[in-house]
Amino acid sequence: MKRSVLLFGLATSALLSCRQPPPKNWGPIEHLNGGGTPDLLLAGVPVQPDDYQQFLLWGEGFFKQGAFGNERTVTDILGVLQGTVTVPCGEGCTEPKPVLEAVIAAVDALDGTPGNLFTGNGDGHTSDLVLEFPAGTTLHGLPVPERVHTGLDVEAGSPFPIGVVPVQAPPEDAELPFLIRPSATGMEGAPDGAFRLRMSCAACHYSLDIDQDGKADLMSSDPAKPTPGSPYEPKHAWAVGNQDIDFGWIVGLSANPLLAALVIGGDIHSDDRDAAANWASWVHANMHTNPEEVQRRVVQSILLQPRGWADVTGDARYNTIQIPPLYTQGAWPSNSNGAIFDDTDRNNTVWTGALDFTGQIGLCEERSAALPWEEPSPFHALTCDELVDVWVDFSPAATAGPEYTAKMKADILGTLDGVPGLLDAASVRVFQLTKSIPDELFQMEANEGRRRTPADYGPQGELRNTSLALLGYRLGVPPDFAEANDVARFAEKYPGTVTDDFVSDTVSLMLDWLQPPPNTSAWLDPKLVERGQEVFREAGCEGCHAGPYLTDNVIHWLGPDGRQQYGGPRSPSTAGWRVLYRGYGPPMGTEPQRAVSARTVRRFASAEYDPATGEAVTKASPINGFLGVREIGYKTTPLRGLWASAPYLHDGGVAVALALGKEPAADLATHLKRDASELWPGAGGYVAYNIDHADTPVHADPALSLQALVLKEQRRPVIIANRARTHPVIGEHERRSMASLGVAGIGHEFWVDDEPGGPDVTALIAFLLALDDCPGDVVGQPCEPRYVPGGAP
Amino acid sequence: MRPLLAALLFASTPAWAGGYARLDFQRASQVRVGVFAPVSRTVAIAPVARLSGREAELDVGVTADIGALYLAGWVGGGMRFSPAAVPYVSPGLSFALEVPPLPLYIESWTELRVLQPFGGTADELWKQDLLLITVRHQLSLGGQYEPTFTFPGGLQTSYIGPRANFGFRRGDAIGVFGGWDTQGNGFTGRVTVLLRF
Repeated sequence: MKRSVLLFGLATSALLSCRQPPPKNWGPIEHLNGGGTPDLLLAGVPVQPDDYQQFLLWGEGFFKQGAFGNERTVTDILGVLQGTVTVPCGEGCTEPKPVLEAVIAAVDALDGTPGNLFTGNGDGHTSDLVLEFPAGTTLHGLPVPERVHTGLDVEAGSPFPIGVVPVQAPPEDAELPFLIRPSATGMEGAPDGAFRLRMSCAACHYSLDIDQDGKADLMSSDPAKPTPGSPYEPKHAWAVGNQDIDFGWIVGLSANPLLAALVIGGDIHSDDRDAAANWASWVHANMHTNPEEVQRRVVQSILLQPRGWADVTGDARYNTIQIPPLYTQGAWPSNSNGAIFDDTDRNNTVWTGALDFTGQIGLCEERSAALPWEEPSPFHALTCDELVDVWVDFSPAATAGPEYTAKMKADILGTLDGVPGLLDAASVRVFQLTKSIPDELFQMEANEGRRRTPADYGPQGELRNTSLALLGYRLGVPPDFAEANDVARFAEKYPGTVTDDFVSDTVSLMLDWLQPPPNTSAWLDPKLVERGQEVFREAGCEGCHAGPYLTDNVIHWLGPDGRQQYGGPRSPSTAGWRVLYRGYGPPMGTEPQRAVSARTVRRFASAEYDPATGEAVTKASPINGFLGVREIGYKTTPLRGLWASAPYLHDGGVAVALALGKEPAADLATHLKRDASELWPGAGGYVAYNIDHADTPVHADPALSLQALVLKEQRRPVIIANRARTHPVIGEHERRSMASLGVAGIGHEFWVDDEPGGPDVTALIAFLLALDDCPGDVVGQPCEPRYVPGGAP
Repeated sequence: MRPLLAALLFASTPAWAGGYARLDFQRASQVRVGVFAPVSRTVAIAPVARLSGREAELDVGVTADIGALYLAGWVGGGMRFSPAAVPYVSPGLSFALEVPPLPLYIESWTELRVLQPFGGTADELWKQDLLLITVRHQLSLGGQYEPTFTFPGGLQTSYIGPRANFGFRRGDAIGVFGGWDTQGNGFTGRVTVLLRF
C-alpha cells in the first residue's frame, strides 16, 4: 500500500511538471514613481556597460541594415517595388513603366529639388513615401491610384527607405539583367555598379512618425542626427512600429508577387482551409497556361491587406495583425500567440521565414510531415518542386536565363549548398529536428561545420528543441563579422551566452533596451493619472497586466470551444469533477484566427515556458504537445507606449477615430464625452475611407479607442463597423469586412462600470496614456528605476 | 516535487471555483452535488454529496488536471438506509483522458463501499469505463462497461452497451446509456444530466 501511494505521488509529480508554472507574484506595483530602466543583460547574462553599449549598437545595426543576405530573395525572386505598371500614352495607347522609376522619383522629390538623390537629397524625409502614377495606370489590369501611399519612411540624406538596403552585387553577378544600377539614373553621386536590395526588420518596425498622426516627427533615426525642435529623440523611431506601411502595394508593385501568393494572398471569396489549399493548387496549375489571370488574382488578393496591418503566416488565409511596437523588456512570449516564446527563436523565425519567404520551403509537402499540421494545408497542396516553381518561374531571376533559374531553384531547395532558402549559407546552422531538411541535404559535405544539435545551445536549447529551427535552419554569425570583431571572445567572457546566437542576442538586447517615447500631452493631469492607477487596480486589471512590465507573461486561452483550442471538438462529459481549462483565467474571446494559425507550432513545436522567467520548462516535442493540452490564445500585452500605438488588441480591431473635421478637446473628459455623431467607430470605418483619401487620412484616436476597449457600450459600434462590408476588393464590386480579414475587435470583455468621459474611465485612460518612458514624471517623480531589475519590486 | 510545490504555494488567483449537480435517472436514481475549492491553477479540494433512494454519502476529494489526464480521488462516508441502516466508508478514484485533436475520450470510475466493518454483509465495488469517439461538436458516441462486485460474492452485474454524450451550453452534458447485463439481469438504462454552476 505504501509503495502504491509513493508511486502515485511520484507519477503525479512527474505529470504535473507538464503544467505551466504560475506567473511571477509581483505584488502591487507603483507605476508612477519613476521611469523604466534597461537591464544590462545579454541573453540573460549580466554584461559590462562598455560591452553593453557596443552590443546595443550592433543589435540596432542588424535590425536596421539586415544581416543575413535576404537580398537575393528580395531582388532576384520578389523584385521589390520593381514591377511594371501600364500607363496611358495617348488615345488608345498604353506603355509599360517600371515602378522603380516612380520610387526613385518619389524619394528624389522629397526636398523639392530634383537630381540630388545621391548627394544628400536636401535633407528630404518622410514617414510615408508616395509613388505617383498617371491617371489610368493599371497593374495586371487592376486600377492603380494616382498616388500610392507606401507608408515607407525615408530618412534625411538617404536615397533609400528605412529597411530597404542596397547591397553591391558580387562580380560574378554584376551582369544579371534585373539588378539595380543607380548610375543609370544619371544623377550626380549615384554609385557605380550593380546592386541588390535587402529588406530588414526596420521597414516594418521603424517609423519617423512617433505619435502616429501621419506626419514625420523626426528627420532621422540615427542617434547622431537629432531633429531640432522635435520632442522625440532618434531612438524613439526604433521599433515603435510602422503603423502606416502598406504591404499590399509594396508587394503588389513588385516584379513577382507570386512569392507572396500563399502568405499575404489567398482566395478573396473564402477564408476556410479548403479554399486556401485550393488556392495554392489553382495558382500552380494555371500560372503557365493563364499567367496574366493568375498574376491579376494574386495581386488582387494581396491588395486586400489593410494598410498598417501585416500577415506573414504562410497559410493563404487572412489573419493579419497590427504591427506592434517592440518594447520587449521583461515581456514574453515573443509574439502575441505564444507560438514562439524565446526571443532568439523569434528572431530566427522572422529571419528565416518572414524576411526570406523562400525559407518556407521547409513547409512544403515532403518536408513538413514531422509536425501534425492541420489539413488541408496550402503548403501540403504543393510538392517542394511545385512550390519553387510558383516562386521562381515569374521572378526577375527567370529573366536571366534557364541556367540561372535552375540555380536559384536548387538553391532554394537546398540541393545546391545544403541550406534551404536563399539566405547567406555561410551564416546558417542546420538541424535535423523537424525533417524540414531532408537527410541527403543535411549530410551534404557543404554542411560540414554548419550542423548543430540543440545541445549546442545549452540546457535551454535542449528544451526548446524544435523551436530552435522550425524551418530546419538557424542563423548564426556572419563569418566576416565574427572574424572582424572576434565574437567568440564574448562567449568566453560571458559564460552562458552562445556564440552562434550572438547576432540574435544583440538584436534582442536592443529591443529590451528600448523604452516607449514620452507622451507630452496636456491631458495628463497628475491627480487624474494617480486616480487612474487606483482605478486600474480596483478594476482588477493587475490580475493579468501585472508587475512593472504590465504583463503576467501568460498565454490566456481563447475560450472553451475545443475546435478553436485544438482544431477539433472535445467530448462532452458527465464527469462533473472534470473542469476544462481551469486555472487559465477568463477566456479572451478575441479574434481567434491568428492564434489558430499558430496552433500547431504552439502545441507541437514549442516548449512550455515559465511565465516568471521566460525559460523553457518542458521539452518541445509532438508527444509533449499532445499530453500537455497547451492553451491556445494570446499573451497579456504589456501596456507600455499605448499612447502611440492605437488601435488596440492584437488585431488592431478596437479603433475609434474622430469624425471628419472634429478636433481633440482641450481636456480628456470632454474629449471622451463626445456624441456618437462625432465618432467614427471601428477599423471598418476609417481604413476604407483612407483608401480613397490617402492624402488626408484618418487615424485611430488613442484615448477614444481605449475607451472602446473598456466600456461595453462603446465597443458595440466598433464591432458592428468591423463586420460591415466596407473594405474594397480592387477590381471587383465586392467588399469585405475588416472582421473577415482578421480585424474584429471582439473579446477582452473586461469592462469598467462608467459612462463615456465619466470620472473612472477618464482617469483610467489618463493612466494608460501615461505609461511611457517615464510614467512617474507626470506626477513629478524623476526618471529613476521604479523596480530592481530582475528582482522584487 | 518542485512543480507540485510551486503549483500549490504560488498559485495565482484561481478563476474556476464553482461546482456541479449531476442527476442519474435510473432504477435507483441519485443526485450528486459537488463544489471546487481551488488551491492552485490545476488542483482543487472537491467535496461531493450524493443522495439516492437508499443512501446518503459525503466525500472529500482532490481533483487535478495533469496535461491531458484529469484525475479525481476521494474518500468519505455514508449511510445505507435499506434494507437496514449501515454506515460505510467510500473511497473512489476516477480519471478521464483526452488527447485532442484525436477524437477519443476515456473515462473511468472506481468506487468502493466498505460496509463489513460496520455490520454490512459484504463490501461493494462499482466500476464504470467509457470509451467514446467525439463525432462532432457536442456529440460523442461509444461504449460503456459497468460491472459491480461484492466481497465476498464476486461479479454481480456486468452491463455493457452503447453510450452517447450530448453537450450543451458551456460544459453541461447529457449522457445516455443502455446496457445489457451479461450476468442475466436483463436490460438497464440511465440518463445522466450534468449541470455546472
